[in-house]
Amino acid sequence: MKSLSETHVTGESIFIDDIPAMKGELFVNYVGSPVSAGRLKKIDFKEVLKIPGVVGVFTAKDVHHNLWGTIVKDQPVLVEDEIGYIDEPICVIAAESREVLEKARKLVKFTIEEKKPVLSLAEAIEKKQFLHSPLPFRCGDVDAAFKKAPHRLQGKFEIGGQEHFYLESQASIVYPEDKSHLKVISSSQHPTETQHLVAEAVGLPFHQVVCEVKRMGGGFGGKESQAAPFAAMAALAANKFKRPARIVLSKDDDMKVTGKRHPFINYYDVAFDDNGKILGLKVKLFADGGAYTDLSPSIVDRAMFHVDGSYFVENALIEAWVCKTNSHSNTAFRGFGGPQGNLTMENIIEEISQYLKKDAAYIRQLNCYQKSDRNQTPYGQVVENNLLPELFDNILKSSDYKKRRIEIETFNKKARGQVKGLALTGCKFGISFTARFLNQGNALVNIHRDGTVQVSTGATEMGQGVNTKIQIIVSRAFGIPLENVQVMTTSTEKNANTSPTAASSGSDINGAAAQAACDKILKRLKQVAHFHFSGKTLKLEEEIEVSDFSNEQFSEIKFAGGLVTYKNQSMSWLELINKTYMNRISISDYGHIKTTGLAFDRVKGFGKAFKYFTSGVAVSEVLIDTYTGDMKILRSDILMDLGRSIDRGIDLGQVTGGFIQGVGWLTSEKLYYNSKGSLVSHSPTTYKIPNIQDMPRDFRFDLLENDLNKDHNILGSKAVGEPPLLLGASVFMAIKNGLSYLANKSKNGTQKIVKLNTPATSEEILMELTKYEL
Amino acid sequence: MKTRQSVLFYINEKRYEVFGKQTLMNLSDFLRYEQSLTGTKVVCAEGDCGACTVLKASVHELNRNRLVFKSVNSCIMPVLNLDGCQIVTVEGLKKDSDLHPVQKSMVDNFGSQCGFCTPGFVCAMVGLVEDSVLQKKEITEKRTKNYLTGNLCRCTGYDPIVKSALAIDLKKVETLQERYHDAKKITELKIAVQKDVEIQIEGLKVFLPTTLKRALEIQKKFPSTKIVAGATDLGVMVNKGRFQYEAVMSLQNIDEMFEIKKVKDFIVVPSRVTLTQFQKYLEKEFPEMERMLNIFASPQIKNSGTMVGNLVNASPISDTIPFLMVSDAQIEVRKAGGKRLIAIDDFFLGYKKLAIKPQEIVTAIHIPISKGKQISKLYKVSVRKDLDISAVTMAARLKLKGRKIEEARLTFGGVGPTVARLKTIEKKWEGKDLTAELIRDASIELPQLISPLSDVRGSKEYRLLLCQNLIKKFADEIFSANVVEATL
Repeated sequence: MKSLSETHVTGESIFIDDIPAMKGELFVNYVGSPVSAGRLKKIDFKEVLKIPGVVGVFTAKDVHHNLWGTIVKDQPVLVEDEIGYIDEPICVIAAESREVLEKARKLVKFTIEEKKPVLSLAEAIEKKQFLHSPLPFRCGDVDAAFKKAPHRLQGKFEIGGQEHFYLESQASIVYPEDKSHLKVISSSQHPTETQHLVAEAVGLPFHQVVCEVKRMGGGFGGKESQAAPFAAMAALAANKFKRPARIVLSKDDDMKVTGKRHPFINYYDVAFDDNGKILGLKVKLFADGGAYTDLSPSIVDRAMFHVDGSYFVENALIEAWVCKTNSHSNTAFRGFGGPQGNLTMENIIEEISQYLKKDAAYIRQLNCYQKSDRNQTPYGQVVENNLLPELFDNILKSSDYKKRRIEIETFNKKARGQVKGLALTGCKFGISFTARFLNQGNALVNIHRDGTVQVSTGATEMGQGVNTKIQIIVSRAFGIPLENVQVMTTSTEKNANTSPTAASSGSDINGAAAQAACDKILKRLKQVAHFHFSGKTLKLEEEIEVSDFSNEQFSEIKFAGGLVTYKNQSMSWLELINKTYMNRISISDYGHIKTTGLAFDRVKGFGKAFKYFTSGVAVSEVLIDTYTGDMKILRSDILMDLGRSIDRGIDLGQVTGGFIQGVGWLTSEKLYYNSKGSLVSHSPTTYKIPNIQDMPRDFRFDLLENDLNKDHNILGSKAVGEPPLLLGASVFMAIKNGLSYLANKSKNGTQKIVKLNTPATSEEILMELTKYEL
Repeated sequence: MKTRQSVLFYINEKRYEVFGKQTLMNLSDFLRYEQSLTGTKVVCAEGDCGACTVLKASVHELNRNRLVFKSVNSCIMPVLNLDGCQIVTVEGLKKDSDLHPVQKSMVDNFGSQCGFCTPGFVCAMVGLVEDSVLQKKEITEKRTKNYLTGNLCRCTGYDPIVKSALAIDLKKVETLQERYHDAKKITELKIAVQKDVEIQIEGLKVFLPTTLKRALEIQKKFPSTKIVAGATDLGVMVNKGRFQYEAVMSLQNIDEMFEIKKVKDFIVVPSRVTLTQFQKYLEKEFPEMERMLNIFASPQIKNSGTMVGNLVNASPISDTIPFLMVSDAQIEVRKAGGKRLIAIDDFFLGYKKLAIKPQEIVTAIHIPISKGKQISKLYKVSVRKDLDISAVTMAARLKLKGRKIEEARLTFGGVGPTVARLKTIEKKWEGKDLTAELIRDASIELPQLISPLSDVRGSKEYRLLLCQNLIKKFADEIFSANVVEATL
């Protein structure tokens, strides 16, 4: 983000609500349901319309096409009849000022026939209330493996949800333009979906709506599907009153109304030998989808794809369900089900180690995917270019694991009121959208007469640095300075039918598309350069002609340092650009790419689901206060394989940021709902994301740089957005490891396996400690 | 003396005189919606995320006749409290086209990702730089974290931000104090704040008296007037629609209320003393409380919020009240023509209910200076260690004569409508020899004495267990760390 962050630090970067309101602009917001379930009988907004400054109220009747959803169109923009969850938008108010709008929102009255809601995932499982039941993954012979195995463990593991807590809440401004045209400015990871949803909501063909995204103040998946309905609400007002309309959610409203990371309840049954080698695995994953489908089927798929973690499982049965509850519709969140799958496996290994009284790190190493054998996932994909064995070896050394384990054992023997824990966990994250059609991208590259370049893609910038990476890719392609390349606002006008910036794929797909556009231009530039260097002259009626040669033919023509060179001749970039233009040859182009080689059969649950994997490992050490359950991270070491990094600074920022977000999910970020189903922890006062004091006291991270991915991805890099979040698990497992030193003294005298659900708050830890004899 | 109908302040280079209803806006809205200074962001609107951080210097708190810039949360700062102040926003940090060293370091060290929290972090970090230069202190990792406790970032994991702070070369910094120094401006503000502000418009009343005497007269005339000092609680209530202004009086301009004094055996903390000032004072007098204040709130809140404000907010999970209770503090309350002292034990009547009358104002806290051999301990447990409201707090003080406990104080917060003093246990302890068993045994009795409730910060079972464990921890800590031996 370095080159683009200068305006961030000066406050000059413009976010949605920083755009000055136009004269006559309307302020829009929704009014949500006061109950979690019921039938909406009547909406009374007479009092609202009496307030001076209220311009209009919209209900489901006013929405042209009310049902939306990326996978299944089952969620209403505004409730028509059946209420799905508390705070669900029922009507929309447009007013002339923020103050009037806030006043008006309190005056809408609803008549609702209340029903008994299903508020817990456990209840939904029991009632078999499923939104989606995917086909299972199977490999090997599970029954035979269990029969032969000397050891077996079964258990249940509850994983909590997580609020995105992007700092910029959902926001959008819609400007009516000529006739019925609408321009939507949105804080969205998916401008194309926002464009489509807005068009459908107001009843316009897609070509009448443009969606633009300059940047987001954080996204993390929360603005993949769920930014669109809010833009649609503003569009209702803009379209009807032909005035600009703005919706900006408060943090409290945003946290209550939008979906979160899926909570899971997982059941597992694992068979293993005396050394801890896993012989067979059966898991059932139950995800809380909330009231509507949203992206849940894909999320649960990804949980299934990641339940193997970094470990080879020869015989497995992996089953999953998306459950329906009366809560906000849960959605994409960095990792997209992957973290919940991975965590389940890491938890299983931690428990195996406690059962066998062996150090979990070595059990992990023993089970880790290998290079030439033991390298096929339960869904049949071979893990290629696998560096996991090196990652495990290297981090055990660099973190001084062995020595610290001994020190911790000594400490725990002596300490009173304190206990330390240490754990190593891994991640192997599949890169590609599992919906194949999404693995495509397009880009537009325009070179201007002064030699500067504008590039537009479908990627949206949310802090992950995708714009900087694209800038680097284009500047390297043309051999021109970074500052001569400008990445433009993402707009559906320039790049249509784009995929969401998600699945860590933003730079892979859009960077490759930008490269493809550059290559097409380069092909022409090289022919012009070749003509120039040949010293040929043209007759008056002649121009340079270009044809469809391959780039290889002119591979000796190099673009670097603002110069174009061929053998011992050279010309400036600027001269070449102008020569090309003057010969009426285009210096702009459009690139389109797709990810090749994907071949996954969802029915059989078998095949190549991912282009490649991004892997990493982490070792964390924690200190627990056994009086209070307080936990401190003393040290974390992270090592990741990101291939050849396009920008090390950006990638390391993703590593530290993702890791800490994962730690927050598993330790302090507790979603607390009251008995009516209403979220009580809806602001940072009660919902605790990590703050600066929660960083590991000693924080070390590094990359295992290599060129193994150079034939698989742009510039040999690897996607980085989501994988490091999974490594937050090392902290959770270190807590379990620490408590295991005390569980030895459990009340009935037997070795007890530490049982913790997530998040492992002080309360969760302290209540577990009450089961032991301290 | 004539009164003013406006408040006067500077934002960056520009002079502002604000009249009427605008004085009741919060600063962040004033900046963003009235002045198009949108670099300052708002996320939580309750002073808990720091995105709205700006730097504020008041003419009431000069250092050698220079302004001292400190970070504050603009989202909960009413404009009326800016009278006599200079604000520097993120837009005011660049000098011509040069980035401020903090801004430059944040760019160079990848301290910014999405950019939404960035202006707030930059301003908070400038607060660190200003103090470091003025107090001739190095920027260390520990000080960096303490100065940035009030800022949340969801992207970076903080490491690049810490690195940004550590990379700043203080020798190359021109402080805001120097850069924005203008003797004429200071004189102008000084003269202005000597005149009372009284604004009455459309049923709203805004008062900024310059003397305590005048404040008491106003309170007598309009007993329902809301009194604010740092306004850190009121700002939240206004933003969340839980409070609407009618009459408000700020103690901002009462010079006599800014200074901590030692009077006989007491430390007197008047109503305008900020938590930052108090914390600094505590370093010498009550190190245990100083440690607590370190994790209690963000610099932004402590730079605005006051000790008295925290007291009268009367939260059962307040982090200062247990300390005041075990210290036997007294509360000074005044009305026009009268003054009384209330023992803190008698000060809280119920949940957020105080033993003061409508015409009275809390003007100071009197804290006895501890004499003789004492052991004091304060504990706070919360979901997150720093900047989080406690699930439970405990404070204990034991006054010893030889090994005998002469006087005992024990309080718990988060277990009832007010901070609870456990006199039953205190009585049991008094007159006995101090042993670990004596203290630990008290935990057995606790379930009969307190009955906490379940809420977002913890279940009742957990809270009770915490209280019991804190007593054990207290016993273990004072014995294992040889606190007792050292005290004797």
